[in-house]
Amino acid sequence: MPAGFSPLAGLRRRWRHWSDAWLRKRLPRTRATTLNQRRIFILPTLHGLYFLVMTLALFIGGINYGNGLILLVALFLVSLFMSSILLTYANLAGLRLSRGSNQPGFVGQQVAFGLLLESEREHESIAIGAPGVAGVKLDLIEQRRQQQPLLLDAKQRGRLQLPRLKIESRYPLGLLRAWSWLELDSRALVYPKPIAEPYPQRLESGSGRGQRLSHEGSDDFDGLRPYQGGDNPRQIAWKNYARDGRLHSKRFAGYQQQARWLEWEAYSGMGVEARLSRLCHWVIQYHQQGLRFGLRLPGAEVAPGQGDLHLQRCLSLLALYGLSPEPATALAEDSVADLSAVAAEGRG
Amino acid sequence: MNEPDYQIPRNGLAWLLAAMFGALLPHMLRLPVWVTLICLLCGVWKLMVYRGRWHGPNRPIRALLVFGGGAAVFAHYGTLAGPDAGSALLILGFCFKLIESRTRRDAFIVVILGYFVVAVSFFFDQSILLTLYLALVCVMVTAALLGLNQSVLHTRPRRTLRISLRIMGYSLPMMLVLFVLVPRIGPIWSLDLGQNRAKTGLSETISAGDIAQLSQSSELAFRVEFDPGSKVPPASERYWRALVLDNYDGHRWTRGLDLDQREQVDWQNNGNRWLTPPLSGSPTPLSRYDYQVMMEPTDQPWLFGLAWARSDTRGVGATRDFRLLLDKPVARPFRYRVSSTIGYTLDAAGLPAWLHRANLQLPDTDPLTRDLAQRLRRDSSSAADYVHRVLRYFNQQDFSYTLRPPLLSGDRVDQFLFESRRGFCSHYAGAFVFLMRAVGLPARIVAGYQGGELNPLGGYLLVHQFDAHAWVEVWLPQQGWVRFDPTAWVSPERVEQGLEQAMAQEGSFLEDSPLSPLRYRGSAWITQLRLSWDYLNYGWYRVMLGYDAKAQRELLSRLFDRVDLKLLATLLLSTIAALLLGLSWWIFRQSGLRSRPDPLLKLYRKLCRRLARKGLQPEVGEAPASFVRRAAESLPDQAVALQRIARQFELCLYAPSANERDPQLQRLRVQLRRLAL
Repeated sequence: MPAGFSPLAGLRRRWRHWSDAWLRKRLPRTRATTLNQRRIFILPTLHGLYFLVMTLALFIGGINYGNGLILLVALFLVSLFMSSILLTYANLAGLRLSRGSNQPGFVGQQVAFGLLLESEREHESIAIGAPGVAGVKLDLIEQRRQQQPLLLDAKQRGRLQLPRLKIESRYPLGLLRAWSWLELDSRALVYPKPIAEPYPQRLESGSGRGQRLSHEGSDDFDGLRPYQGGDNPRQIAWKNYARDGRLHSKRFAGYQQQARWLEWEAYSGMGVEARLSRLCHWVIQYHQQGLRFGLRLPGAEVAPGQGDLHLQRCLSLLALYGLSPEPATALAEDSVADLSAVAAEGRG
Repeated sequence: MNEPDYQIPRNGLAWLLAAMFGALLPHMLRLPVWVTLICLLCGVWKLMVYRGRWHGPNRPIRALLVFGGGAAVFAHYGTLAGPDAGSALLILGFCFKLIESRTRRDAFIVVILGYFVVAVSFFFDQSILLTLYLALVCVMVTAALLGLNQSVLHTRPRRTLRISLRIMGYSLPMMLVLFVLVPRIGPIWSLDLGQNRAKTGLSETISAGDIAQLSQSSELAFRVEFDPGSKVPPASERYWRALVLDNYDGHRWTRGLDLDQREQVDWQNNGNRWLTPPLSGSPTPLSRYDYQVMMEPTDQPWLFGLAWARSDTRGVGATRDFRLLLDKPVARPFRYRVSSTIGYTLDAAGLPAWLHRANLQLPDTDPLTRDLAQRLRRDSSSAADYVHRVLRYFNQQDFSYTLRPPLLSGDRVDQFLFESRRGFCSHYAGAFVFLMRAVGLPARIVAGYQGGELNPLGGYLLVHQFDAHAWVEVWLPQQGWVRFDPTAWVSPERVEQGLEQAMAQEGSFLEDSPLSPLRYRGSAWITQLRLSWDYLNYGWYRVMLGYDAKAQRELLSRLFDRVDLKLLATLLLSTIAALLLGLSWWIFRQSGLRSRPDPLLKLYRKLCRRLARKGLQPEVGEAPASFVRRAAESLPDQAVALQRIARQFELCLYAPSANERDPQLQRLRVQLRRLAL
């Protein structure tokens, strides 16, 4: 279809723009909120309108045939509708929503945002959705506190902001729809998509066992030391404990390997994203092989290291390379500019 | 709205099927058997589709079902309109929609139709029992609607039932308020219910067996409630007139003159004031009865009343033969006011020629009876004397009163008077009128009900179908129309004590309905139970059916000086608003939703306002504690206090408490109060 001028599309765009601005002002971005009369909107559904039409038909029938009981049925249905307004509202009201823990992901995969729901009352059949988020439906009946993961496709590297959520409910009778918008200040990291490509040999530094350097390894037994909080329980010397009743941790010696460096320059001639993707692949590979490695990007580096925390540090560096540092709190105003900056950088 | 993979939740479907069966049950007794069978088949089909055994109907089968159903209904009733055919169609549609329902919208339509089917049941019956039963069905339909909107994981129908009961409980007070306060308006357009249903009751013609058949029915015909100031007439005066039959064809009595035509009737303000002239005299024992009649539907326009009756109820008119008439057939229980004055002389000034002629009509039959009439007339001194001779004749010859008269043929009156001599009220009335007319006395049969049982609980009369009766009115010079009941001269018990006593020996009272509680009037407690139950029903009818615009005005005028539409609207809106407020309080009573701001936040804001006066403002993203510490640095004289406050803020922040009286919060409050800024 040729992209011509369509007044309807224009109007729709303008409406969306206007309503977005209005919603942002009315319901600013927050970390946690309790749904209340300020935040909940409610309108009859199409079913509710059918229901009212039928009720009107019965009412007219009751009047015309002078049948008090048919009239009574019609009035019962009207009352049902009216109490349903309150009950539909009540099904959202009092629901406390806050951000839970988010799971980062790679571009092309899904990122899981944690949404924490709590309430003092029962809530049933609550639908949560947003553009790009697979909709979920949940109940808060026995568990009044629940973490619900929301899966979102990660399309760009960087920080991914949870889009504005729509929390909706038609419970109990489906005659009315109550909904609320929630702009949760929740972000997840999106790492570059790993792309396998051989690392240039010229930059690969030597391998093999290096000199024994550290006491904090896991290779050879190296003696005992008194247990400290936080020691790996697997390394506790249970036999000793049985003997003298005191906790000791076994100490192992590790062999300090010669650190490898993953260099930005290794893939010279490629674009920023292409380099990041390849480096990402090798970060994961080295981590899986249990190698010691460092990561060096222009203006930033991660010193050689090992382990999960090191992996995360490296991946975060790759994810956020070239992006503005994360703004602090008070997101209501700058959120849009911030997001567009992320998007612009990511595309570059 | 149309989720492609939507399946009606198990829970919702279970309730939907239960509700469907429940809603159809009252109709099954009324509808033809094949409709019931199709409904059951549809229910089974839906169940099998749900369990994955069978397929749902495809398009041609659906079309076949819809057209076949419509055609079958048309073939059965001869029409598609009217309550019977219409409700059959509605019910078939309900079932067909159920089997093909897959989307949420389909299921919703089934639920809506369910409510409709429930409401339609009230066209045919409005008793307490049915109402209670249908209230249960309403619970099931509501549970089905709720089940459709619950999440699919829900498989506890009991919980669904409990919640739907709660929702209905919330709605009931509102419904009652609406029922009392919604302004009652008359019909928006006039409708006639179909009249092809067979109703027990009087018919326009009386042949010998008709009333005998009616007397086997224990159905209620009408109830009469006398006004507080009015006395109840004695049993021998309770002649409820309904019809006048003045034409005899040798076989049956019919209505010869059609006095019920609209232009012949004295409607309340159409100017047919002819009723005044035929009345005359201030009758000696002038007794007046004011009462209300609540009648069951008859599908006929005839109303019941003691002579001479007038009514001020809308739509009720009076005919030339002193009966009451409604301007349309009585298709639903109907209530009207009557005031009857006994003792007037009716048509004393003489009959108009056409009326005189009509009341002398006789076929050229029954020569023996004519001979008897001439003989008796020759012996009597006056018309009145003749009438009494005839009555004595019935009394003295061996006539007997029976519900099982032998069949008559040929010259029926002759046969009855001289051979069988066994008969029922219509036999006696017929023969009596024949004898009157044979000697030139204008006479006519009046059909209606005689008697009635007084219910001591409500002080009202119960008139049953077996009280149906036929008697005679004879026009005598100077006296006008005079009522005679020849049956009373044969069997005085029939008039004084009712049919049951009259039939005590024969044992034929309600012999076709062995289970009717009316048969056991000998047993005191059964009678007590029956009368109590009727009283309950009566109250129900009074409230449900009698609550019209007039009753509404009367009820409200007891509380308010002026009752108009504005008052109704104000009352309605304010009561509903109050109810909704109460309901929302009830729903939210145990939740902490009352939006009380966090007490810590309140304190922090207060401190911020005080610091702002010193020119200090929190930076974007600055935590409360660090802001207060920064303030401590720039306000050296309060540094120690502010440092302490900052620490206390952190303490409260990381051990949060919603309790206003939390000791840590209290300490912070004290510290803030002591702060001298």
